[in-house]
Amino acid sequence: MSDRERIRAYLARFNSDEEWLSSDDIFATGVVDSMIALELVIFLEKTFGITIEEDDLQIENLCSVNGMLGMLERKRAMT
Amino acid sequence: MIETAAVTELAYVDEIAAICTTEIRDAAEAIDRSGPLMPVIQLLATHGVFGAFLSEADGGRGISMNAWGTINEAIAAESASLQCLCTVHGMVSLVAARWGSPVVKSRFLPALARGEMLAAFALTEPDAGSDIEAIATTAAIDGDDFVVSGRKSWISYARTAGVFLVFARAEQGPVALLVPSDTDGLTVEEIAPGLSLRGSGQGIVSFDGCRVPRSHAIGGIGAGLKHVAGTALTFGRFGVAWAAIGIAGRALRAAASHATERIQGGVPIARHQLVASMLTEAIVAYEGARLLCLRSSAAHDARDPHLVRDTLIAKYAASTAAVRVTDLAVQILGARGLDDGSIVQRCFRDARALTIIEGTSQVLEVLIAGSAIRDYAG
Repeated sequence: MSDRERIRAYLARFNSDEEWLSSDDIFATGVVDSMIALELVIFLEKTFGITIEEDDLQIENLCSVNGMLGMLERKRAMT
Repeated sequence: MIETAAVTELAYVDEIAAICTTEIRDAAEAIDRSGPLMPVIQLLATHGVFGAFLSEADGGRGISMNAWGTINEAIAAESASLQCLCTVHGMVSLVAARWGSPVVKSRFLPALARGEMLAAFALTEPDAGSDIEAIATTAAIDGDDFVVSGRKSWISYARTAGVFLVFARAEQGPVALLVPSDTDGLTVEEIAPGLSLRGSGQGIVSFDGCRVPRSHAIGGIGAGLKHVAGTALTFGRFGVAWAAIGIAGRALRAAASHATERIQGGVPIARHQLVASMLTEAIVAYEGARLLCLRSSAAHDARDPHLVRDTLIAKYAASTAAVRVTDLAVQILGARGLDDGSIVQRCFRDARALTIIEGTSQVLEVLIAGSAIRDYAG
């Protein structure tokens, strides 16, 4: 399973609607409350072996599958 | 062979448990009557309790959340008001370590980890609690500073805090920032103790143009706040859940002891069927909730994303159980349970707060039901 597929499969637990999964801002619809936001960070850290730090807490890094993949790529490049 | 780290951790938990049943037990009544006692707080600080759950790199001991839960349980069994400090101080310390800027980590974290500086969590306002969007306190950006104005209410350990984690609204979105208590324009007004947690030094904190550096923001402005709030509240709910277990266990032990010692009709009252029924209800509620708390601890230690959901369920179950178990304990002790200074009446009063603080049971019901839709529906 690719990184994209793993993230999408995780997000689909909360909402499997394709329009939402491929949107630019998964936070916009209200599906992601502060609890799910925290779960998402833990999921990304544990699944991909990264640590999401203060500087990573930018809306563009977490609000879409593409944003998460971009952050993942940058963090992998740094290590 | 048993791992050395696990043995060290067990020894540490035993060390704190021993303090709980001696010095803290002796001080608990005075804390309930008069408010926070600095010598007792300093005793916990000396033993490294306040930063125990932080990593060694952040100045803590790096104990597991399983051990942290057990320590909170032991402290709350003696003084729920004192345990409340572990919750609020821990919430602030955790997010400072997790999401704090280098300035926050160098200026505040070492003192927070050692318990030399105490922290308070300033989210609640007269008209805003769980709804972070409704916060009225403002944080206007002016050059390199935030200028904070507003009022926070029902803030535990307000008078003893050296720093407040203040949730406010900036023009760019919500923000959480550390405001030292000696900042010009910050005032604390003590609130007369209410029904519960009478020794937790609650206060109203007012910010009148308080100027703090922008580097004191934790998690940035806007997007980051959901993560800061979520991290802090989940940790807080974990502490409240274990506090509820501590309180319920203490009340249950008092009730069970009384029921076996008190003779009526020639037999201990525990043998009377209606008393046995109350004891059974209390035992099952307590043990069931404790298992849910252990599950939450395990999820935290495994960094399982389910830890958020499991902690909501543990807090909901444990606080509900504590209210019921302490109510039953007062009933079993009869008139003795109502006495001034009786442990079960203090447990009864303190338990009542736990279905309200860090998210009411009703707020948690909405969140838990949301997770049930994902986990159980079709």
